[in-house]
Amino acid sequence: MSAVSATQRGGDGAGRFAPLSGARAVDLADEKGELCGRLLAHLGADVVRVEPPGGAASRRLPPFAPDGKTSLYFAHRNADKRGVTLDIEQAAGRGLLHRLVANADVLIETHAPGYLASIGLDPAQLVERYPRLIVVSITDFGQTGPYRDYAGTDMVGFAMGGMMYRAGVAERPPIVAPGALAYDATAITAAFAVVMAVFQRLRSGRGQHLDCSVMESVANLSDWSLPSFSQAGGYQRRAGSGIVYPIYPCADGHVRMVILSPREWRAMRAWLGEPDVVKDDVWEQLMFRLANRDVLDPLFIEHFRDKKKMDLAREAQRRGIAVTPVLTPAEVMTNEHTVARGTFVQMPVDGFEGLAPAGMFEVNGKRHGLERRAPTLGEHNDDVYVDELGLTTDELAKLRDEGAV
Amino acid sequence: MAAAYPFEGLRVLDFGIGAVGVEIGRLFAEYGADVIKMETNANLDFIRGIQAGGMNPPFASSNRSKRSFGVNLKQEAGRAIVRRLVETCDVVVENSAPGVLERLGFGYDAVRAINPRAVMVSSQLMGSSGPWRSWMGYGPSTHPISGLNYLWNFPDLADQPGGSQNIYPDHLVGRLGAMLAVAGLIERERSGAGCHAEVAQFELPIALLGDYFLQESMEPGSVAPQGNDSPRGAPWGAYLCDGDDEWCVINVRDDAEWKRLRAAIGDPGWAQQAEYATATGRMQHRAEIDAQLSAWTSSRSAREAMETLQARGVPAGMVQHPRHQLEDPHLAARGYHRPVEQPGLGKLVLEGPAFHGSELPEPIVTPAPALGQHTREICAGLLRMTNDEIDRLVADGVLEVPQEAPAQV
Repeated sequence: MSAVSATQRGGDGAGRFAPLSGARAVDLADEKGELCGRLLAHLGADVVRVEPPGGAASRRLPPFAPDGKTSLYFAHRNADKRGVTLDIEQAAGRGLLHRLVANADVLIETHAPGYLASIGLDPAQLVERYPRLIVVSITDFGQTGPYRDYAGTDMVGFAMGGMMYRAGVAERPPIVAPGALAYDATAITAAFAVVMAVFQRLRSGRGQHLDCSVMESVANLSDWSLPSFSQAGGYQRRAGSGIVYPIYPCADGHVRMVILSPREWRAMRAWLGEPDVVKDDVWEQLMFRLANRDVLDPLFIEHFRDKKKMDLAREAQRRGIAVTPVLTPAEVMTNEHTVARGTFVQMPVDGFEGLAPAGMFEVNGKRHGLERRAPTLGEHNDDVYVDELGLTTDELAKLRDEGAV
Repeated sequence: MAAAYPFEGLRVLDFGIGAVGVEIGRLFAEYGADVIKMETNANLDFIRGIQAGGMNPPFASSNRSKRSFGVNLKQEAGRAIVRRLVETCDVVVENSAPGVLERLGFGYDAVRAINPRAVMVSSQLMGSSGPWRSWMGYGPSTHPISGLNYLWNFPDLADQPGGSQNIYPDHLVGRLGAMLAVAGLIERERSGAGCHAEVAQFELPIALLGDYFLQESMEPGSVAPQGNDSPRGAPWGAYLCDGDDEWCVINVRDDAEWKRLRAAIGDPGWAQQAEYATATGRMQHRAEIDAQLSAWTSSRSAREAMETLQARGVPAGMVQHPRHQLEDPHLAARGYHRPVEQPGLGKLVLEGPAFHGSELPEPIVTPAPALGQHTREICAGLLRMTNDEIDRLVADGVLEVPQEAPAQV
C-alpha cells in the first residue's frame, strides 16, 4: 500500500472535491512537466506515470536523499501518481501506450517537438484517433517558431522568459531561482490549460492538442515588464530585493518590509516614534519615500538593529505593516504557523522519510494534496496492465522479457 | 468553423486587487467570460493608482478584456446591488486582506447563501487558518517566509539575502487559482453546488521547493544557497556578454554536450584538457572553465552566443530583458506580442498566451476599462435598473462612473 499519513486527514467520503474523479491522465512528462500530472491527481484524476523500463531520467536528478542517489526531485513531483513502465521506442511498448491512451482523458508529454511524430505517436493524430483525448505538450519553446528545436533547461527558461534579468545583485551575475521555478511554473500553467480543455470538452465533446511553452509561461510571470517597456521604454536592473521590497538586517537575521499605502506609512511612522524629519505629509507619497531613501533607511536600520526578526514581524503585523522574517528552510518547517496549518506532512521516500509540502490549495476548508508517495519503478504494472487492460500474466511476462515494459 | 470560447456564457465577479485575483479574472476574460471588475475610488486597487490618470501598463495588462463596475461597498445600497450581481454570477474571485470581504458581506458563507452555485476563489498571504493568518503583505513578502529568500542567493553572500524584486508568486497563484475556479465549475456540473477554493500565497513557493524541504528534514543543515552552480554539471551559469550588462546562460549537462560546446567555440586549447572531459573533472574546475568561457562570451552579443551554442545543441539562452522580449523573433512568430490601443496610454504590447490549443480560439485582448466604465451598462442591462435609479445612485456616491466622461450621451 502506498498511502501515507496524509490520507488519514482526508478520506474519500461523500462531499470530497474531486472534479476529475473518473478521469485518467497518462503522464509521459520529464522534469519539465511532472507537477502538471500531480496537480491533476490533486483534483481527483487517476494519473498513471509512464517511465521507460530503465526509469525516468528525473529519477537521477538532485537533490538526493542521504544515500546520495534517491532523487527527491522525482519523489516530490511524482507523488500521488501510479507508475508503470513501457518503452515507447519499441512497437510493443507503443501498442501498450495506445491501449492506455484509448482509455484516457489526458496525455501529458514533454518530448522534443517532432519526436513523438517520428515514432508514430503524433499528438495531432492521437487526438484524431481518440477524439475526446486532450494531449498537452510541455516544451521549452513550444511546437512552432524559430527556437522550437533549441535545447532547454530550467535556467534557460528562467533567463529567456525574462525573470532572471532582475534577480540578484548588481555586482554579481543575474541569479536563477532555487529549485526548478521555470519548469514547475510551466507545469502549473499547463494544468490550468488542461482543466480548461476538460471544461471545454463538457460542451464540445472534443479533446485537443495543447502546446505549452516554458519561455512563454515564465514571461507571463515577469511582472508586466513587457507592456511597461512597450510604453515607457525602461526597465529595472537587478538590485537585490529592490527598493520597494527592501530587506533589512536585525539582531538575529533579516526582515523584509513593504510599505505602499499612506496608511501603512503612517503606521510605520508611529512605530518609529514620529521622528520630526519625516513628519511632513509629503512622506506619505511612495515615490517621495523611494526618492529619499537616504533619509529613511538609517531610521529603519536603527529601529530594527537590536530586535529579533520574529518579534519585529509580529509587532509590525500587529500595527498593519507588511514585515516578514527571512527564515531558513528549517525555520519554515518548524514555525508555529506552518505547524498549525499542516503545511508539511511526512512522506516516505524509498526507505527514507521526510517532511514534504502537504499541498497547494484547500477546497471547502480541506487541504488537497499529498496522499501517496511516488511510485517505485513499474510498481503498478500488474494493476494497470493485467487488472485494468486485461493482459494475461503470461503476456505481461513476455513483454517484460522483450524489454517492452 | 472556429471553436467556441470555453468560458462563453460565464460571468465572473472579480474583486481582485494587485495581481493575484486580477490575473484569475484576466484568464477568464481572455477565453470568453464576462468578467466584471468590482472597484471603487474610495478604496482604489493600488495597481490602478501607480500612475496618474488611473491607467498604466500593469493595470492594462491584468485587466484587459474586462468590464468595470464602480460601486462603494461601504454603503448598504451598494452592497444590495452587488448581492444581485452575485445572484447572476458563476465565479467570485478575491484576494483582499484577511477578513475584508467578510466584513463587506461577501465572504464565502454570504456568497453561498445568495448563490449556492457560485464557485469562489480566495487567496490571502498566509491562508485563512493558523496563528499568522492576519498577516498582510505582497508577493515579495512570501519570499522570506517560504525559504525562497534564504536560498535565492550566492553561498558567499549568505549573510546578505538578495533574491529578487519580482512579485512572484502573484501571477502564478493567478494561474493556480484559475485552474481551481474551472475545476469548481466542472464539479458543479455533477453536484449542482459551488465551492470555495483557497490558496495561501506563501505555500506556493514552499510547494515549489518541496524536494529541498524533504532533503533538509532528512539531513538537517544540508540545504544551502548554491547561486548559479548546479550539482548537475559544469559549466553551468550566466556568462557576461558584449554590451550593456548582457548575459547568456549556458548549461552543460553531460559529456556529449561538453564536446558539442567545444566544437561550437572552435575547440580552443584550454578546452582540450583531459580532466575537463568528465563531469566530475569539469565540476572540480568550475572556476577556470567559467573564466575561459566568459572570455569567449564577452567578445560577442548574448544573442550570438546563444545562437552559436544552440546551433550545436548546447542549452544556452539570453538573459532576456523586456527590450529583448519585445524584439524577440520567436515570441513574435508565436503571437506572444498582443498589441492593444489603450485609452489614456496609447499603443501597448501585452503578454500573449503561454499555450495554444487546437480547439482554443485566440485569446480576447481588448483594452482595460476606466473605473466604472460599464456601471451604467451593467445596471441597465443585467439588473434592469432605470436611468433615473442609476442617476440617483451615482449622485448618492453609491455607484461610480468615469469622472471625466459625460454622464449621458
